[in-house]
Amino acid sequence: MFNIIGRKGEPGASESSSKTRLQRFFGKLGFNYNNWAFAEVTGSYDMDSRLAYYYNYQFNDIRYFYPGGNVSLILSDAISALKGNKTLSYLKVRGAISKTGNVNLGAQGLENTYGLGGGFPYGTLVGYTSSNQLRQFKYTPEFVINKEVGLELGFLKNRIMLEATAYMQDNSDQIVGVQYSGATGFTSALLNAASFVNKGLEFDLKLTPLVKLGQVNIDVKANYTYQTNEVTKIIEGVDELGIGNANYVIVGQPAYTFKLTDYVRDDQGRVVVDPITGYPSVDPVIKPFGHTSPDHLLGLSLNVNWKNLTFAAVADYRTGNQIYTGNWGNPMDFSGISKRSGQNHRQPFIFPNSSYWDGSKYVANTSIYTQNGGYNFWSQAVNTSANTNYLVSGAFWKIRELSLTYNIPSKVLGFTKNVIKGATFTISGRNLFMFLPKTNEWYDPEFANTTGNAMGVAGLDNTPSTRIFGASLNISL
Amino acid sequence: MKLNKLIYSLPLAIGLVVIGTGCGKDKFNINQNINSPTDSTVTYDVVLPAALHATGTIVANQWGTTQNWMGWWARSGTYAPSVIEESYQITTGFGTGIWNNCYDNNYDYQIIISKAAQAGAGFYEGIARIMKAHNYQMLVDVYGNVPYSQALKGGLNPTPAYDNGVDIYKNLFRELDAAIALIKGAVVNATNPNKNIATNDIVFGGDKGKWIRFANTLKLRLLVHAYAVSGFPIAAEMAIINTEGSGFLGAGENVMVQPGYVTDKPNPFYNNYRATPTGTAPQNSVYYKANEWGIEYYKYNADGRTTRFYEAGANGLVGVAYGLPPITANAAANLAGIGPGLYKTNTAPQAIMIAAESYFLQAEARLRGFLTSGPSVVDLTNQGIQESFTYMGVSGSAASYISGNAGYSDVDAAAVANTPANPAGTQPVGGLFTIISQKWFALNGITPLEVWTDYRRVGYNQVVTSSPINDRFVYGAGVGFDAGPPLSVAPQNTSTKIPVRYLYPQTEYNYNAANVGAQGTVERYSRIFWDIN
Repeated sequence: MFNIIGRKGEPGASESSSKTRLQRFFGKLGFNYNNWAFAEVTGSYDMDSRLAYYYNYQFNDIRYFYPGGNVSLILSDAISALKGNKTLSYLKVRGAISKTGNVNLGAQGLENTYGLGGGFPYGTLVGYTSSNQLRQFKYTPEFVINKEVGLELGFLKNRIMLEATAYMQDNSDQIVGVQYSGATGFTSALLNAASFVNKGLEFDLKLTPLVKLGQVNIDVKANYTYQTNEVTKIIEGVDELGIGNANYVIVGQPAYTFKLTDYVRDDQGRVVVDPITGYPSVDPVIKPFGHTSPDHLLGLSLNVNWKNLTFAAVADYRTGNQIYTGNWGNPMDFSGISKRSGQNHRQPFIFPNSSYWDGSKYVANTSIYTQNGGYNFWSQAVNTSANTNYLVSGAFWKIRELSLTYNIPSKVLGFTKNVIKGATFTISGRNLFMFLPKTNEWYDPEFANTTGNAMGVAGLDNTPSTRIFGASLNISL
Repeated sequence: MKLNKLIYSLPLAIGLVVIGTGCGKDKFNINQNINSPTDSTVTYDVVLPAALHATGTIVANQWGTTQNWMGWWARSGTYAPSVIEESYQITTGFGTGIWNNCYDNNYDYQIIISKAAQAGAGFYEGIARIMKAHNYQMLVDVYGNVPYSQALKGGLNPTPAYDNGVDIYKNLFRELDAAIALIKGAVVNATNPNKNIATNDIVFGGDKGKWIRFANTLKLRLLVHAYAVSGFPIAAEMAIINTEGSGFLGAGENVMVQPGYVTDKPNPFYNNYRATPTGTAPQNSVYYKANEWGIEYYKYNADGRTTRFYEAGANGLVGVAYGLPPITANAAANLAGIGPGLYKTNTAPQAIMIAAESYFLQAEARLRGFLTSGPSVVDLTNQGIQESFTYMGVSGSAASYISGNAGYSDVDAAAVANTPANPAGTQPVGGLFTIISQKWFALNGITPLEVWTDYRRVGYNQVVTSSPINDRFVYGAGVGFDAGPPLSVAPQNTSTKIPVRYLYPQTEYNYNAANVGAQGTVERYSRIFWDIN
């Protein structure tokens, strides 16, 4: 029998209540000229109680305004020379600029708080302890200024559609949790700490149909994005901050950049090993290694149709980013179930690309074996505390979905055809294949142990994405 | 232009006019925290109990490694080796709890200090200053130079610079002076800012005399640690203690935290090393078992505390060598475990410092000559032994233990050379050797950091002049027992010395890089300032 009456231990009790008030005045003015020229301006004026510091309330602190505007011209309609052109059937240019504001704070978030100390209350004795995240009295909203220009082209009666967009997003004063030295009394602080610029190009190509062979239609859609970003400013006098999960904000580098421990290396980048033990050593000073967001994203979808039969496929590719797999790789190395811990058959080995100090210079190591090549090497700090052992490319190809659909012709439905208007039968598979670089012996690069900013790191407790096979029958009456 | 085709939707500016009037501005001022105390609303009296309990928890639970290194405990064969610890190859990720917990705890004391000072609650402020000094003493003794003058300032100084350990030590005396003055001057009644001190002071229940004696004993601890540091103002500080006149913690005056531990919210040591509230054995009660050398040393002296520090396993009062690879014979159930004198009961108070240590500190100060009056070294040492017996719950007095080991200098502070126990005169005599050895016997599982500090600061050549230079203390060998603390026997251990400090936490290298970098290369044998052997 399971009933909390028969529980072990003491149940806890807590309560919490909060109230926020957000008021927004929003205005929009739109123009349409002859259905080929469009323009719109918007403006928002927000008042948000989450920005109010109760003990020194200033109305100016909680209000903010953000405008936007966009223009688009369908040139294929506007320019008479293009009207009825069979090759270039559609031409549109557009541009937009907008600013958006956001308050990335919870209610009652402007002061350091105190929570109950361990085990308190004891009887009637209460005890509070300072929380470990530092808060400020004043935050500004996060603003994003988004500028984009786009071009849309249609060829051959819109059988080929190409859309190209270039954008630049200027993010200022993003509110992020910044890691602190524990000697401050806090382990992190929530600050308006990051400003960065995202730039990118997006291409979207639709070939509908790509090929038409009798009754066979083949459609292909592809989209490609190239994106970069760069941190432009942090806070006054600071050009580098850690936000946890080995993610750092460094001025001039992409947001976010990994900073990790690595082996002690010589001037040629070789790992320096001890001439006696053959073991490398770890430099506690962390260095930047790669970034967490991909540079190139490619999406493909294919649709093949023949009579009542349709085959569809969706695939994705990403590259350019790194993932840190230490939370996963450490315990696997510790327990000796990782591939890398078995690569030398658990025997002593010469540390790859290593050198040693012979008393006057670094000499390439071709003869000094590690003292141990089993548990006492792989599970130990000499291996597991060098973070870079677990830094791998985040690239992947994924076949997200394959499906086959049969549209059941009404004639096979026989006498029921007066009742049933249509029926389709589909078999599909999702998350079918994933192709990873050889170096990534660990896991799906899309795993993450947080939904926050500090990406690229997964925990031990991620389950693999489920491979789903499905069959469905849809009947419309 | 065909303006008739120009369509417009909502006008933009309607809202903006309305706001300017100021009506309803205050309806947004609703962001007061109604769930938790904040910097604006918190009071010193509700923070103090949690902070004191947290200090007790730090003293109880952060020292498993020290227990192993100093030869009291060892990993049972039920667990895979912690090779980092057992090969002494400590990293910047090792044992970071001491750093984080001490600073976290000290921030709470800092809040009490500033809030109590504003309110004029001198008793609260004084207690917080004493406890903050206690935690900084631990930080310096583990890490050496640490952030102090610029620490605990939150966002005002996100990257606090480090202060030299010796300067921190010197400043702690002034902190303790201020604390003593505040407590002495505190008026306590039902309405003033110090009200409820008897309830919220979960250490001494508002006993001024005990707090002042604790402060003086902490000063003595600092002086004994630093006695040999050139230029350290030993005599001047001792004069201040003498002028103050309250003396040190006396018989039965153990510094114990008791918020009101109950079965469901037990004593932190009990919870960590004995049983959780649901009655299950915590991991640490299986991991940590008796160290073979340590338990045998207690038995060698027929010490009545043996069965109080240890509890027999299936094979009786036997331990395991530290670092021995796991084999069935070393399974946790076969070995002696942590004993009832340490875990006591789940509702027992938690020790921060015990009276026995006060006597041993006085004995050493007397022996070194900076405590010039009062009982003799031998009397103080014997009193310390008796206090330890009492604290550990040994029935009867320590007298038979002392007399039974007469002539053996690890127990008999009056032992001299050229006796049947020490015929050749090459073994240590009583006095310093007795004091340091007895601290090993008494502080096992209670304040092991103090013993690690003794091991590091008292060179063996200080007790045996004929000994070759040995910059670390050697227990046991001087009385015919095996030398200790024994080094790890882990096959992967190549070190021949126990580390003399912890490395700075990786978080410092990550988030306070310039300041920790200014400390230069810090390795496990980099000495604390008082380590001058």
